[in-house]
Amino acid sequence: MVRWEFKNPQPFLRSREFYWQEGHTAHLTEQVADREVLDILTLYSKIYEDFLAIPVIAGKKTEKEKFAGAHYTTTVEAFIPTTGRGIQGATSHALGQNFSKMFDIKVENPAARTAGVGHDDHTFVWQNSWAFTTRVIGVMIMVHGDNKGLVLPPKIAPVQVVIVPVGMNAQTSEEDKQKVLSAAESLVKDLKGVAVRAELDDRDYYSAGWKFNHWELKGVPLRLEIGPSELREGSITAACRHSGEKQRLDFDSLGTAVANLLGEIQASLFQRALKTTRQRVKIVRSWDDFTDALNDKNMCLAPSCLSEDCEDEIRNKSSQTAQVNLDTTQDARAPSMGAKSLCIPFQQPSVLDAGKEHCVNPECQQGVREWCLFGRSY
Amino acid sequence: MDPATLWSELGLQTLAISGIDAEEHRYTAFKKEDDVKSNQAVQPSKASSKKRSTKGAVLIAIDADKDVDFASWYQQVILKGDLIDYSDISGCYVLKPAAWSIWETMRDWFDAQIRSMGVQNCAFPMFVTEEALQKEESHLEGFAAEVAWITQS
Repeated sequence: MVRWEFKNPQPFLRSREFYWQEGHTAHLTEQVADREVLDILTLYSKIYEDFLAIPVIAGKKTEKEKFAGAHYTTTVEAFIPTTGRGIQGATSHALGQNFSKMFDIKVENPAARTAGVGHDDHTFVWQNSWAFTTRVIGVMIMVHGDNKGLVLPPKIAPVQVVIVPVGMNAQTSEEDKQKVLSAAESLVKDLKGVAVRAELDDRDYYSAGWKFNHWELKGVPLRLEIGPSELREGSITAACRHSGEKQRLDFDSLGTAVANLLGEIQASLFQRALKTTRQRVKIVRSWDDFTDALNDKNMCLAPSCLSEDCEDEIRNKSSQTAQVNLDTTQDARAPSMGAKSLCIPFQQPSVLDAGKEHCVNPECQQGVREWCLFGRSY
Repeated sequence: MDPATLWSELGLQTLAISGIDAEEHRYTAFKKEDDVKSNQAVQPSKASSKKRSTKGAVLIAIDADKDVDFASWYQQVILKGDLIDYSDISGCYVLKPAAWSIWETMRDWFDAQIRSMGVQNCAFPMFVTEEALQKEESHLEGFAAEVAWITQS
């Protein structure tokens, strides 16, 4: 896909050329199309949550933010804690009959046929379109990565386990070295046998410490250390990339233990990101709380009238307050950026009472409609 | 976890602020590869400054702090983590094997899911005529800025 962006390009997040999965489907009825829109959105949220270990908030876009020409747009929104900005994860659009009428895309309508002669037995199709792109990789890097480099969730890591021979020096006998290496090689074979993507780093011109750092930089979820003492003791050291925690695993049933540990790492990464996201979604009702929360790098869930005018005002006003408050070294673009609506979450915190509650924009003259998620965003 | 569960758990409960474990920030500078061959383990050192001096060393590790200089941190992670290479065209990047493998894992899983829903894959031309694009005026308005026109061939 080529999209001639002129804003600051950023690898994965915003590039002129990117790869994507693109879906276009046509349906006989609105109901069937509607259901597919949500089925696809669920798959997208699984990509984020089950594969990339990133929690997302699913919802509908406001009229202002929906895909141009769509009947409505659904989205999964993720959060980058370091910058306090939301990011659109993937979208699934119901195009309605907008494009089928424009381009005259019709099918025979079984319902009309039974109505008899004189009826038009063709009907315009209901179309959907949906896509996710290589942007997902950028979100994953930003959420999980740390000062040692990448942190890859096991499910998507090209190498899940790296085996590093340790505890050998000039004094180690050639025989012991060979024992360690052949044990390491058979370990790789065993792990591959239980569908674990394992690799042995047997390069003898790098120290074990160098290799530790190298594979940490590359985000490999689990490192296994094997040396003469490990062979004697019948257990090896396993170090988790995301937490730095180490534990000993027995040689017996190592395959199962490693597979389990990878599952635990995946779950723990998700839980960590979920905890942060929960803490950083603030439920606010007043404008003061809104700007405070926003400038503390949170997303805001606020009552809204959902009108385009209000969204524009919120964006302008939050960009003014930001000028005063924000630390500008963080991200040159963030401070001047106002908040926009990210989605109207499907899961609403409460039913809003239009008689008692007010749109978060104090100037708003219209009735409040739904809780809407706002934030600075990519 | 499905998005509904996430949200219902978030609910209206007080969003408690509990401390996130302060990550230990380690920086490791490496000597030149030749020096490393002598097998001297390079000890990681703690640093509180934004950047370490890289004089006379090939710096393999990340030397930007995620919380201090996010933009440099991101750039270093994708380059040194072997995900991306830059190309001669601004905004176009090489996706190296590690990045492509991650993409394939997700795409292949997703593809299997939509096939089981009855979706069939196909391919369409990359180019459309000006007439076709103008037909969808409301659509075009939203994308006008990012459309690349071929004016010479």
